[in-house]
Amino acid sequence: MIYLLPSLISFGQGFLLIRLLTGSKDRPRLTWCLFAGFLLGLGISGFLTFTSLVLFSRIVPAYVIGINVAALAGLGLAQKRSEWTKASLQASPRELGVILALAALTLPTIIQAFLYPFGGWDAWSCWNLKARFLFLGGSEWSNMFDPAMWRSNTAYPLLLPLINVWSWCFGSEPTYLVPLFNSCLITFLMAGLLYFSLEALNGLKLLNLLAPAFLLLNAFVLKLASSQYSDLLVGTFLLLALMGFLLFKRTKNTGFLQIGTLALGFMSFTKSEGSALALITIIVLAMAIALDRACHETISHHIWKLLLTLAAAFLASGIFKLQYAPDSHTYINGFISTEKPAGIERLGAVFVFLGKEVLSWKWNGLWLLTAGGLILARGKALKAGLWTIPAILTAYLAIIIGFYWVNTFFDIVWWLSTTLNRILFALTPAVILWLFLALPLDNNNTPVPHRQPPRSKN
Amino acid sequence: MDLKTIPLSTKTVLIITALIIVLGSVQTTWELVKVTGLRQQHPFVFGGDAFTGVKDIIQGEKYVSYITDKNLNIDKNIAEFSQAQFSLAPVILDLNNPNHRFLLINCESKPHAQAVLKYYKAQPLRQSNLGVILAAREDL
Repeated sequence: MIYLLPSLISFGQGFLLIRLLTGSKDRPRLTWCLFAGFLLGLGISGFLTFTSLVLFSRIVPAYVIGINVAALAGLGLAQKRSEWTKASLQASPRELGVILALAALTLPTIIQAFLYPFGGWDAWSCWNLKARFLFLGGSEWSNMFDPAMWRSNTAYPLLLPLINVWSWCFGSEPTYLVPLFNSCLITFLMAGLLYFSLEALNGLKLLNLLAPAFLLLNAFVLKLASSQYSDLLVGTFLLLALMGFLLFKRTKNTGFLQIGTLALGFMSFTKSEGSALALITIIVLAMAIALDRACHETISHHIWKLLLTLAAAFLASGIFKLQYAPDSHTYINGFISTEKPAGIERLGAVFVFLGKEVLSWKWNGLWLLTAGGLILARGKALKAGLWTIPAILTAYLAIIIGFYWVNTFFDIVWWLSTTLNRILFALTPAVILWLFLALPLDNNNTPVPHRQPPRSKN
Repeated sequence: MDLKTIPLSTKTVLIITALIIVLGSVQTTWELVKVTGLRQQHPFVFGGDAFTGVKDIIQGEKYVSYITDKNLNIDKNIAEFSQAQFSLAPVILDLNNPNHRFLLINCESKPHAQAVLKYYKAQPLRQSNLGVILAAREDL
């Protein structure tokens, strides 16, 4: 039970930060703030745990707990009392029912997680292994970067291990229950964020439950969700970042952009692929803002605030890359290597495998249905800022395909068969969000992000 | 939102989604029931647990040699190594590099393990039920 306490502290941090950033005027409903806040809080706690490594060159549990509690208290004190109205803290019976339904949808993931309590292969050979080095290694934690550890992806950043270490700081043992619990929690947060994001932007209400149900009632997806890998976290942060942008576009409240920026910063500290995805997302969203005059004008009044948020969000991944991350031990540039050249047949293999993967029945037709739905939605799939989602996904996949082609360290078939499904899995929440926002809801063809949903009254 | 005003194209997508969810639920339930049944016959055992009995001896070491003659192209064998590494972290298991004081010998057969001990003039310190031997080299 003691391990629930760090989660509650993280939740408090994120929830209070969201209230602080959005202000009372355009704040979304409490339920959205709960899920988005919890996710953001996990990132904050992981980041604050990282400062222990920077300041003391080791994990000092008393410091980690102290700094997290201090952050919670600081955020609490920074709140405006006048904004804590009853209305801003109320959820409707329907919303409470939805939360129960989302918990029920997460149940198969929880059962699966207990059937494989140590998670999937990369949980014990990479993510949780890094967490154990951090927690048990004392000042020698950086031994995880030793060349002999090359199988554990030494260059990968540390947010997920740090989130687990944050919880372990409340006990003396690195119990397997913490990563297990966190993987189920993040799955639940992803489902809730997806549902309440859709509800904030379209008028489908309970029909939006189809979106998380489509993901979580898929045997393959729940296997990946319960595997204790970082891809789930990458996907959920991307979802939050996109929502930050879409809500900013609708309300012109820069607080949402700050939330999205923080999500991108945390995503870049989660996985190397997350760093690439964060960079692409920033470029695409910056273009979208530059092209929208109203957004552009709003931004110009808050540019320093946003730049400061950007710097804070990417501080941890920046320090990690400059100070700690070793060169990748699993990289051969196939364009210059004579031993392992990157031939055109390698690129062909990547495309063939990608095609087979998206057509595979293990996804329960997710990619086909999405493609079909978007075709039926016609031009609406690209209107009202929704074009940013395919732009981000296409650019990201192009980089991933390029990397599979250039890096000839691994046998391509083995590498694709073990990693490509996870990369696609990380994109599923964003893809489902796109599909459900692109579907026309009436014959007026109004793109859904322009609709005005009910908001909490303050 | 009035369901009647939803265009046919959207209704079609939502109905197909609902059908896939029903199929997915059946498939998920079937898989979970199957694995739960298997777990009742063969409870979950983490491979790394077989190595934890040597923790007290190797504590404080940076490296321990992990010597094996098993085929590491077979998933089961490389998984065994990875799980041993997980359980013994923050000690680094140096795979088939014998140049460290402690050797963790995990061979296919007992004679092979004995041959390794003899070759490196190593003194066995502890042996697990599964035949994994922790030994110390006398020359290092």
